[in-house]
Amino acid sequence: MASSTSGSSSSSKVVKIRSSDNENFEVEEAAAARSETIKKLLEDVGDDADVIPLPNVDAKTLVKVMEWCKKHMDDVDELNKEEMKTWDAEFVDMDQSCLYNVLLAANFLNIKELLDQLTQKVADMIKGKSPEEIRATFNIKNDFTPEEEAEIRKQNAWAFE
Amino acid sequence: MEVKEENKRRKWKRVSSKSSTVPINCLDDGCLMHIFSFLSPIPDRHNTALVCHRWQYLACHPQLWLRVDRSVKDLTEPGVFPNIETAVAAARPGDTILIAAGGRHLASNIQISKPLCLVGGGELPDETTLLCSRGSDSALEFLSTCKLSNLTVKAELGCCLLHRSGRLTIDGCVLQCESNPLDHLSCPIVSTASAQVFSSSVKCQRDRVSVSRTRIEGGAKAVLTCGDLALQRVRVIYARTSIFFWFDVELQ
Repeated sequence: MASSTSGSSSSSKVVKIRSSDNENFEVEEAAAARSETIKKLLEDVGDDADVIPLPNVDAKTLVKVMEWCKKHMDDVDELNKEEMKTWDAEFVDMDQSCLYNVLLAANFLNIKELLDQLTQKVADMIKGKSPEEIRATFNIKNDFTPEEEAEIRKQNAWAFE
Repeated sequence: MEVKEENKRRKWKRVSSKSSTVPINCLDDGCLMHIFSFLSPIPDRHNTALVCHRWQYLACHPQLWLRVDRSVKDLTEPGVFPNIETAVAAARPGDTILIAAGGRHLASNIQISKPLCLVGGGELPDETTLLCSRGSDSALEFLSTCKLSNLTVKAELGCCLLHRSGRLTIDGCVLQCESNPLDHLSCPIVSTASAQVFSSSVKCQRDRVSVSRTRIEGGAKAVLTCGDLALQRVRVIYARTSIFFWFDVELQ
């Protein structure tokens, strides 16, 4: 699955990274360095780095993350901002389990901007919903007894009428 | 033997609970809390707390509160403020502000016009003191529904808390006024809330002060009301060194 590597036509430096399921990827250094974790690893090992193993990220997720990194490789100028916004909105529009995997990966790889975009996306899925609707959205089971639920409502009652 | 059996069962339980089919639960606590930090406290974070035990724990976690710490050096740290004014200004409606214990926090005429919860960071209310110096009318002035908990509010002259409107809840606090020589000038709680004749009945019910488990010391009298609200349901416990109060101030 998805063993695509970045175009070697680019003249910039390429780094090799390996996913948890042992797939190797070649990525432009500028893109990979969007991840603070990879950047730090690269600084530590220097030029003679072979392959950087990422034991927490599987190939499918890594492809997604690197897709984002490539798009966000350079700082965006004013003109492209709107276009970028649309691209970002489409990027985070993925199914839930994929979303959480990419979110976890962004957290592990320390890509703050991507992490914020993804957490904001999940927050938007919670916004404006009742507790029942939230449970339905995320398939979460209510593990409160009625007494416990009443107690939490009571704790927060000061703020409500 | 029995212990072994018990251990085995526990182990099994842990494994079985891990293999859940709820995708979002694969996120660790840090990520979930990061998500919750994007939610407004009212109503979204409140609703989030009612979803399940884990979400309740994370949505109500003190890490999501604002903090007031006078000794803070790094002002770029999000959610930490050097004084109460800046924290109140930055807070979103429904936020909780944790005020660090130790020392005295100056509080002079701080107006609060959004629902906030102010909590003292000490083990006892005595450890976190808000001081209203001479020349100020009150330490805190409430124009909105608010809650105070585990705090000491001390007024040298004037009052500790000035209640203008909204529902004010005071739980486990200490309110101190100078005991002499001008104690007739100061009252721990002053309420000016008044139910206007033409206002809707909802509004009438809204304005109230409820005090529980709170020590009140000094001043001419514990509560002065200039509006239409009246003291009700007073309970007092005389402990060896202090007096604890429970009461409500609301429309009769």
